[in-house]
Amino acid sequence: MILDEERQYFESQRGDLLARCRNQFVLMKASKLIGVYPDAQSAYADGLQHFGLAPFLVRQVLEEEPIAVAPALSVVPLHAGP
Amino acid sequence: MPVHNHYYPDGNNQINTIESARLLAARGPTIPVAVGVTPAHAAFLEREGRPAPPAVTGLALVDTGASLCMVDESVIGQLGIPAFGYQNIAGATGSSTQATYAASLSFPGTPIPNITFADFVGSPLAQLGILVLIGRNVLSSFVLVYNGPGGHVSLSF
Repeated sequence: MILDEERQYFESQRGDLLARCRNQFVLMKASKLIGVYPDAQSAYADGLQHFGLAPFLVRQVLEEEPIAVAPALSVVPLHAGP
Repeated sequence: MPVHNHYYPDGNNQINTIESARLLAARGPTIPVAVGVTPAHAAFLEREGRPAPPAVTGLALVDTGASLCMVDESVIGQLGIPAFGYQNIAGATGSSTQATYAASLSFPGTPIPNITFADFVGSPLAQLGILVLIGRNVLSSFVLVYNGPGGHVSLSF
């Protein structure tokens, strides 16, 4: 999946990140933490500055992963991203 | 507070009829929408000397059952939006992890203000005749009135 490396890195760092910046937003590329931000928009803007239109990860530092629900569209295949 | 009333008139251009109620039930609560890049994305392109791609227009379906927003997957390619996150999604037939994308929303022909940053997952919505599915993450900013017998919906922001 796209952002797989960043996802794995985020999970490996979650404990430390919770201690450092719980509820804030982190910007990551590959296995590197680029910065910590108060909101997703700021992190996204900085991600564009650093990496242009290449994929990068912005993630809120939470104890548990949020799970979204979308029951109405479960009858069609969900898109897994490029 | 700006209010937008979206009507579903029958063949005689009437609302509050059985046919207008049926049309709303069949189509669902929809609103005209334009999906564009975020202001940060547009500023990045401007610094690169490249024009921002034009917004893609269509209909958004308001879905109070969905906790997140979706956009037709063709829009992601048209706007050149990079993936910036992932989302675990549970549906009636299972769960999956999908990439998320940031975009802005405007609502042409309505007084509803623009939403400059919202995250979406891509989904093949075009086959359903809609461009965007508006979930509760964006609806948290709206007041929605669904008038089934009257055949119209009202959205205020």
